[in-house]
Amino acid sequence: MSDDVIIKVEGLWKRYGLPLVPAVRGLVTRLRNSKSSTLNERGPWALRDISFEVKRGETLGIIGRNGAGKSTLLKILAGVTPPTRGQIEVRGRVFPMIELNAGIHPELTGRENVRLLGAIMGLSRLEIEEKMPEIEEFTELEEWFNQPVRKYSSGMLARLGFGVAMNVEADILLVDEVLAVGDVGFQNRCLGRMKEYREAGKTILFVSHALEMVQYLCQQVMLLDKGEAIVEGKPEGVITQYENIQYHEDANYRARQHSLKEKFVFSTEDFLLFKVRVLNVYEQENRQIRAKDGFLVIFECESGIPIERLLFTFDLLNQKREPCLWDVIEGQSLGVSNVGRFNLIIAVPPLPLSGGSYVIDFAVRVRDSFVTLAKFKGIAQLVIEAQQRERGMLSVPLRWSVTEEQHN
Amino acid sequence: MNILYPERHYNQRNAINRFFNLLWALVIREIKGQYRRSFLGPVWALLQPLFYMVIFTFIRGVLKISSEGIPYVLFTYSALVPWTFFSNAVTRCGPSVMQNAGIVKKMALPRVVFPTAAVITSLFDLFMSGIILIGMMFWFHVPIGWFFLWLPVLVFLTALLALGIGIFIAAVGTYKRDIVFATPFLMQFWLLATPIMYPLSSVPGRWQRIYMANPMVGLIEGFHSVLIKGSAPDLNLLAVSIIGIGVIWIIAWPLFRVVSQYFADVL
Repeated sequence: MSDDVIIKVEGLWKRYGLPLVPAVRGLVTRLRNSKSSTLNERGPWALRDISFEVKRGETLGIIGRNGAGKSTLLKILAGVTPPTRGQIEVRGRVFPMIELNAGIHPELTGRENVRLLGAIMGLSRLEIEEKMPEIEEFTELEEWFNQPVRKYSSGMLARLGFGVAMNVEADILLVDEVLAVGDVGFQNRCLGRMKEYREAGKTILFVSHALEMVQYLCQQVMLLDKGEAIVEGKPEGVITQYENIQYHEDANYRARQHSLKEKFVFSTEDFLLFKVRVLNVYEQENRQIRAKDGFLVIFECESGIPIERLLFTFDLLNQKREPCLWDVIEGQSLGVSNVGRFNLIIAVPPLPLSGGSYVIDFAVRVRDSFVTLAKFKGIAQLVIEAQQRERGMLSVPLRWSVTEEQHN
Repeated sequence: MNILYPERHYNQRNAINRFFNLLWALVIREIKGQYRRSFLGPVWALLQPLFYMVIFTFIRGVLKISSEGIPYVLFTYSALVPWTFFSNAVTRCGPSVMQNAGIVKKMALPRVVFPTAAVITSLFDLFMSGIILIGMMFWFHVPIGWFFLWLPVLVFLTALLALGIGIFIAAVGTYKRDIVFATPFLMQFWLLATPIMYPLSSVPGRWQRIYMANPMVGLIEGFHSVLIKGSAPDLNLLAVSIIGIGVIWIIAWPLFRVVSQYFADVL
């Protein structure tokens, strides 16, 4: 392993629990049926075949949905739980900044708990007493410092743990979502300390759901999904990919939800909807849709009333169910007068819509009486792929400039 | 499977310091935390053996138990003090790993620190209840001599036995809780199977052999010898106990070593 590599992980697999149980079960099955040799591949793996390297002084972000294996990875690197398979080389002292308040006793005062936390985190008694004034100041607890911690708010508790953790010397920091607690001022100070660590040439592994923070703190980001490392690379690209995965997940989830909730559908005999298809510009169904290319929505329907007497409403809503596009058209202007089956095609032009999962609402009314013939909410889901990190409804580059204020 | 943490190899001394530092901190936490919100505080440590003493004295009145010519209160209390230590230590060991789940899941520490802290915490109770015992010994004019130097040895052996059984319970109980739930009952049974309420001499001859398999017998008899009979412990009895302790450690320690690696997985 080359000199500047501080962590090297190769073919790491992890399955939770005592290996005894699967081993015994495996033996029993093997005795019964000698053919099944792939026994070890079964069972829920928390991590599957993870390999990566971290260089000294690098900050690696680890992102992924809940249960992707991020915390498991940190736990293995911290030596808390052994890997089931694979090789790990860690050069230097690891300090896990996870569960910083582990072990505190609610009846003890802040000061007493600081001593305890210090011992847990590996500070000597002398070191703790030396750092005590500094910690006391950092936590900003003042008179609360000598009060039982059961009276503390969660933010106060977080400061206690963090105050001690900041004084631990280590070469590699494992940070797991510790910044999620506490107010903005506290978060800023924590970030400041992390920056100091980085400048001191320390290596940081940073697990977080705060993607913004990951983007600006990390040089490399690894995306985990279902225990596998999907991609590793520069923050921007990995985060965008992660967000797209989430959009698809969200769309799938909602598709399942809607199939259950029929109350979203109102339909009469006069108008039937058979199918809705969403196509990308290459007229492929269920494929990547890019907002800048536009897309097609096709409604296959049957009407008992001539099209020219109908009124169609189309609605595109984003994840938060905010309408992003809305249009209504009179059947007359479609230029056909037809009873029976037909395809209604809506071409959505290229638009700077932000990436995300969207749903379509569709309604049909009689133009003259405004009687609703059919109304479909969330009738189709689609995902618009993000090209970069996007927020808000529209993804439009703004023009930024600075003018100098003249002082005289 | 191969994990390399080079720092661990050359930092042995540091690791040992760290272990004792943490052990001390955990013991302080337990002792302070345990009694801080109670009215009687550490007096509770005195009450437990005293309570048993009162019950046993009453039972003795009914059953006419011999105490080999020694005042019964002293006879039973001098055995109850080390017994209570042993029993509390074992009972505390079982859930000690679960209670520290947060630390176990966070830090790579030798897990044995938690049961060890449980035993040492119980040592504090032993000293508290020992105060009353000293008072009683003065009251009954118990002979004092060099054989009192056996006391730390006996306490150490009792602690070793408690820890051996404790790590076994912790090893198994962290996976399946049943053994932890069963511990209080087992300790009640064990109390009756140890010469605390009655003298060893009143155990029928044909039962003696099985009875001696209980490593607490030799230890309690040792305490009796030193504390009230004014002599050194019977070395034969003590040797049997030491063998028992050895057997328990030979089973419990490797089990704990293997199983404790995976504690973080199941907590």
